[in-house]
Amino acid sequence: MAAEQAVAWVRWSGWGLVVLAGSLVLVLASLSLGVVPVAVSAIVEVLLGEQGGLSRILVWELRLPRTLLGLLVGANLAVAGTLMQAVTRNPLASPSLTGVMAGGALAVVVAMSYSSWPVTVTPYVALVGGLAGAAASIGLAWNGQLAPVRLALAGVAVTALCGAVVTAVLLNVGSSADELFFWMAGGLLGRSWPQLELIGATSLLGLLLALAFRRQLNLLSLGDEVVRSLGMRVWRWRLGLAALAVFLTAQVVAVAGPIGFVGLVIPHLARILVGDDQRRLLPVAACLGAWLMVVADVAARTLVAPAELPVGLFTATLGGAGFIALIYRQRL
Amino acid sequence: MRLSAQQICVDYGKSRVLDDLSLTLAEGEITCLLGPNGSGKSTLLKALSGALQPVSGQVVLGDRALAQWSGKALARQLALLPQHPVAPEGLLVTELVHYGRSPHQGFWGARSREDDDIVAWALAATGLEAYGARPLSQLSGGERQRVWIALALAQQAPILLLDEPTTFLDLGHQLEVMELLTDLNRDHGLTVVMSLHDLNQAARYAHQLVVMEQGRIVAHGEPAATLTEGLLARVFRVRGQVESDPHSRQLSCRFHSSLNYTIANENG
Repeated sequence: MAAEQAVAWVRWSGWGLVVLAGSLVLVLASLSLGVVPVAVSAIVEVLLGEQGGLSRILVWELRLPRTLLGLLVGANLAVAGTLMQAVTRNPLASPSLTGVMAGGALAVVVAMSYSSWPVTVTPYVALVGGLAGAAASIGLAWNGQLAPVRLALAGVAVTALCGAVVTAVLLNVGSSADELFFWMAGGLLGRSWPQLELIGATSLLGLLLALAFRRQLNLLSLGDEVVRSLGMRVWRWRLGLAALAVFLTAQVVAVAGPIGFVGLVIPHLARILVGDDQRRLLPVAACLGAWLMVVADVAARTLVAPAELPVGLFTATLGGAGFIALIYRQRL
Repeated sequence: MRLSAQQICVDYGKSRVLDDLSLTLAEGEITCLLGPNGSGKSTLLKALSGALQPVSGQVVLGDRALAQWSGKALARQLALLPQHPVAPEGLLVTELVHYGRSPHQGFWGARSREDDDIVAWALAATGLEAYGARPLSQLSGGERQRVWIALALAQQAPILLLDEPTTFLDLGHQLEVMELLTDLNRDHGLTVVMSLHDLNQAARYAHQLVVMEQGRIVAHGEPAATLTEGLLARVFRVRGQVESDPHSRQLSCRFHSSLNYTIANENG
């Protein structure tokens, strides 16, 4: 028994090292690449506080918070997607299923078009809108319990209605819609320490909570009747875990806008790699989501430099390509 | 612990599925629920397990109504195996059976040595020792059904409710499941309650038969006293004979024709 545990410990710490090394390489690449490249030696000096000037501004003020934010946003979306797929027992569920992204988008579009609020309140507007959208979906679906099909239908309805209003507003405001379009595509342009401070602690809390509930998530895969027979209150867990997914996603919408596909594709990819067991699936999905987001963000700000593309463009492209690969792999 | 339904009514929408039904289950015996499709067998099992709330009346386990039991405490007393249980295809047999331990575990679900031992015992009792490391996707229908029974055993509940446990199995696997349940009942004193379609199997393996029709119990007792030609005609609408083997006292039904079909033809 002790030997088995030792083997398991070695294996886990081995994977931990791989994750750390991969993350380190990606973070360094993200700090180094951009319109003005920064050498790795200069990055190290900046991080040690031994260098000022342009390198410091590039690395410390712009790229480091943005990279950390990318890691968090990716992990949040991937874990939220994994949660939603487990809660609804539907492999096509995504973090946006609860209407949280559509609600956030609607709130931001309306606020930016018809109010004179400063840009700094946008994250809060998105957060409130996202939570309201999710509350509307869950409220519509609620009938004394939370049936996955009802939740999916209610989420689609709320998303469609919000999308219709957003389109109407964009048409109405006309030429000033460019800025809104860019926000709607999602991205980390101009995000820095304030946004990281806004969601850093709560994101980590949400991610840790999801990991803590890995056993309940595993049980939920067994079907309502068996789960109930094992003594779990099915709808309470389903509601609580859906709320946790909303909590994680709303934070993404607040700082980066509605970013699609990460939360849908990454859980699938992770499932192909490690199977259905949430004890492995959740950490692997979080890691892959974080990495994908950083890669997409680096691509978004380097491919057409000095201009910048919305990161949502890349996550959608990578996500679409990933899904095509899935179709062929599984021969659906 | 004694499980009984006291004057329960259950509705699906506007239609009444169980109508003022009362039943006390014999402890440590095998009870088979019989009846035509739609007579309420599955609904009764769900109500007995607490999965469905009756609109009136109550199901009582031991000294209190099911509603007053906490989820986990109830799960330690009774286990329900539904007609179509689902699980991820890639799940390993041992992992699935381990889920049966969850009513005995705390929030973190840390596995104790005892849990491992009980899972090993449940696998052995269902003849699945060699299957522990296999994914569900590699198992046949009969093997899967044994895995689900192993999960219920790992739950260590003295009352086991099964909804048509043999319906999708071939004859050999049907008898295998029935004999497994008989052994578990004899060796471990398990109270077994199951719905079944095969009257001969019910007569052979059950201590008690409960015959249902339109949400009511129309007959209840030992097979020899319950299964009669009149009952076959009235409840199942078939013309048949019930014979008792003089040596083994084993009952067997022989069926001749459907009464509904005959009447329809005569009228036409």
